[in-house]
Amino acid sequence: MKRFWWMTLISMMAVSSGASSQTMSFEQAAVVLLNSCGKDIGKYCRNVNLGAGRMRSCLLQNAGVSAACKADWARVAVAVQKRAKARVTVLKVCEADALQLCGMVQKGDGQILDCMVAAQRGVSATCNQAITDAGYR
Amino acid sequence: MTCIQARAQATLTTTNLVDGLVGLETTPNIDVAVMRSVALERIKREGGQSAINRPPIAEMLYNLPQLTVEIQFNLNSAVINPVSYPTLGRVADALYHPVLSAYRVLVVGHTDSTGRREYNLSLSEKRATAIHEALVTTFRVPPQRILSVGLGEEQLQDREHPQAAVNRRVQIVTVGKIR
Repeated sequence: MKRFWWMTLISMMAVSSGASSQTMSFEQAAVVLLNSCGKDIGKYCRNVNLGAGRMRSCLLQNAGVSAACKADWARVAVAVQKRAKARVTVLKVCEADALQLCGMVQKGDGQILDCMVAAQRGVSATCNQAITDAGYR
Repeated sequence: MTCIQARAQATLTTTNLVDGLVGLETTPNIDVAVMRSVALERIKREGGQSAINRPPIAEMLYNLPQLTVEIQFNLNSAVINPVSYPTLGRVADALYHPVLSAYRVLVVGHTDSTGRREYNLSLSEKRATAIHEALVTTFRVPPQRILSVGLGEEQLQDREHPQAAVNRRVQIVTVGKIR
């Protein structure tokens, strides 16, 4: 029995770390929050707004809130942060690759990114990772 | 797209949002503090005048790229109902889209004419602020990308029917470039 619990714990950790290493769209993130925490929000945090960490604090402070909601909220926060960061920094991270591979492309953020996504094989690993984290492929 | 053509769509996709918000031709001179005080002064001046056919307070918004998004709030409150979280996420996705990433948007809150005019101005301001805050904090949209203002019942969509539900709305309007 003890061994079973350990295995469960390890597999849960693997699942959660796997999920938190991915980014997701902000809409997907919000859908996870709604599905996982909607009932608890209605029960414990009805008059609390989403922004400035208010809803997160309210959910964390209420003992009755489900563990799944708390865990999903934490996971989504990490994914959102990662994607937001990638979206803001992707052009900077990919600057050298863009000059080398897409120098002829007329300069517009969308066109440069399109070129970088198309040129995947010749693009550096860090730039490719930033493009993936930003959700552009 | 004019304000009159903008329609609330429950199934507005990120692509719809991006399409609606691109194409800013000339950058208007938008000062939200001025918009607020102009609205408040008009309310104080006109007092309890009928809302029917009330002229718009911020006509400069009409010719800018814009969309009406459906955000549910709790009754008489600025608390965003969780059913609208995905819509906020979609707005954030659109704002992060490469074709919009250099632009600044204005979140505009509106009410219908039910209730006191000054209260409506204040409620719409708080609601616009709640959306602004969620986009900037929960969805980490850079703060310099978003402005917000509440116009209460001073910019009705259906001016002949001031109490119509269509007047209760949130607009996202492209108002400038950040670089």
